[in-house]
Amino acid sequence: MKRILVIDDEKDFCFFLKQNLESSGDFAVEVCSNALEGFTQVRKLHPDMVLLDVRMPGMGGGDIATAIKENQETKDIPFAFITALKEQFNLKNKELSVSGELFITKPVKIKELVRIIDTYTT
Amino acid sequence: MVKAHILVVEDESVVAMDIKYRLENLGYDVSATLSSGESAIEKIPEFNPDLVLMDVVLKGQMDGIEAAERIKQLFDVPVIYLTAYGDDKTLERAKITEPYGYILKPFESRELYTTIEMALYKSKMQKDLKASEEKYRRLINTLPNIVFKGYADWSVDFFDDKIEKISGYAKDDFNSRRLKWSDIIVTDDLEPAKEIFAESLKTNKLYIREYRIKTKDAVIVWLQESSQIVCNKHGEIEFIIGAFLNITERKKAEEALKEAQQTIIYSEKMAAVGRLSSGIAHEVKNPLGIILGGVEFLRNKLPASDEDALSAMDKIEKSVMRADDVIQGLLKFSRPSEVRIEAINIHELINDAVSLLKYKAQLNNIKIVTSFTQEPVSLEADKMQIEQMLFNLLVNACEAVSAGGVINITSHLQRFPDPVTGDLFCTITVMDNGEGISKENLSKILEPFFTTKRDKKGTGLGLYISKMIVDNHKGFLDIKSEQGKGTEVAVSLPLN
Repeated sequence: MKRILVIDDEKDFCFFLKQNLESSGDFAVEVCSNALEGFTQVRKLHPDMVLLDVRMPGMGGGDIATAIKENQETKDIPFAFITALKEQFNLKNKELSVSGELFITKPVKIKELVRIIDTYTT
Repeated sequence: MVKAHILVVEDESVVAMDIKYRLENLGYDVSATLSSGESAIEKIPEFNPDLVLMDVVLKGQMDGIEAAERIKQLFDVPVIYLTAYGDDKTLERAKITEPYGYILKPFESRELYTTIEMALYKSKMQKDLKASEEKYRRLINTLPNIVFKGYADWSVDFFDDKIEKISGYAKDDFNSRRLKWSDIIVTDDLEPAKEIFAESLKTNKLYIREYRIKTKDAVIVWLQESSQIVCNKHGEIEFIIGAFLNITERKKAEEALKEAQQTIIYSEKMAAVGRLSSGIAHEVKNPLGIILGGVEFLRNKLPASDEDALSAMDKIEKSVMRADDVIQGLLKFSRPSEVRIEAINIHELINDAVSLLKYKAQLNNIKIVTSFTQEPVSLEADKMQIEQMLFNLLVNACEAVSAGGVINITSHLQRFPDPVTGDLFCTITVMDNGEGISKENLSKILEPFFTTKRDKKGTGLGLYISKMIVDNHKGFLDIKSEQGKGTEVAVSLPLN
């Protein structure tokens, strides 16, 4: 059972994401709608993967990503941005940003999301 | 009054003395008295007389009539015959040399005086007329215009050879009626040209029309024809007098300007669509994400037997993906092209922008003056973006000034923020003495879609995009303006 942490202020999106992932039986999903609290959860839960919204009030997904990478305890946790507009990051690759971050654009089908999670969690 | 110089050609020395004496009494200066036609022709360049009194019968091979003929051909000096021979044959021969007078011996001093005075006056008039003709001929030759006289059937006469340079056809091709003017006008342009002519005939009979001609070498040349129709008292066309001007260069410049403007308006619109669609995309894709999540959630809740509800879920999902495709397409379509940084010559780009607008400015009597720094300016930038920005600033300046306005474009290097230790920037200033911008408008001028030129199809994006371009290059844009005095836009770009 893979443990996934979703940090996104779009609560309805998180609700369905949690329900849909968990219904497959392979995932346990925790949801957090605040960036700062989200990072505390990353350290506390040490999930198998973190899904991050880019634009949130206050600290954004980019800030959390930096914090995850810079923290010794969390630096090995894979994460992906889940966003409406990957253009904000000037992406060339469909999924990967220039610096290698993983991007998933909304709307995303659950099957597709599962495939991506499986690829990046071993 | 200056004495007229007269050369006397008379082989009887006594008679010659008498004539000399009489002339001097009448107030003339006698250059010399010569006894033969040959010596007269030889001495004329030396004495440069105003008039020659010529006896018909002379010593030597040549008689007076022959000598007069030669003098007329060579020197353009008026000749009066002074002779005892009044017979028809001599007169007939003398006539064809177009003498200025014919005095029969013996004669009265009074008769001599009036004939000489008339001859001098007539000769002066003819010289003036010739000079005046020459002056106009030269004027016509120096004008870029080709003067012509045309007729209702499109036949045309030219007065100089300039037509050959433009059309490839010789003057005589037209003057001999081998060609009519309509033969070389581009077919598509003939009807509109005829309409302008017909319209002018109904009104003031003056017209200006522009059309293309096809030269002998099949090159297309644009001409502007300015003409006046001259009618007789019955209102029938007698002739048309006018001039052609080659406006090919102007037409090309106009085309280039139009094209550049269209390209810029297009890229401005695209930028606007881009801004709009990325805003919309964000707002729409989030709810689409929720709907899709909801559909998948409900599908899991539904019993497999409820086929209708499951098929409804499929339809909702398909619609969500379709909406997403539309937005993806919009984003792809409007995404600005990649920024390409290369070494640019900013002064060359300014000159290019100026030359694009040169003809438009000339047409409105606007003067564009450039003055660039002599220091080396090494800039790296996106050439197309900088071109677009410069063009926008220049178009704005041109639209701000009225006829007779002046636009000054300068460049200089300066350091920012500290004038000594700061980074080196090249500042390009576009200054106009136009209407200026009100304080109220000045605060909004960089906002997208703000324009005072809706009527001139302004998009309200020119300055906004220029500012974005300058920002992209880590430079800054500064606008100062005073109403009634003019506007100064300064763009500073960092050097490498």
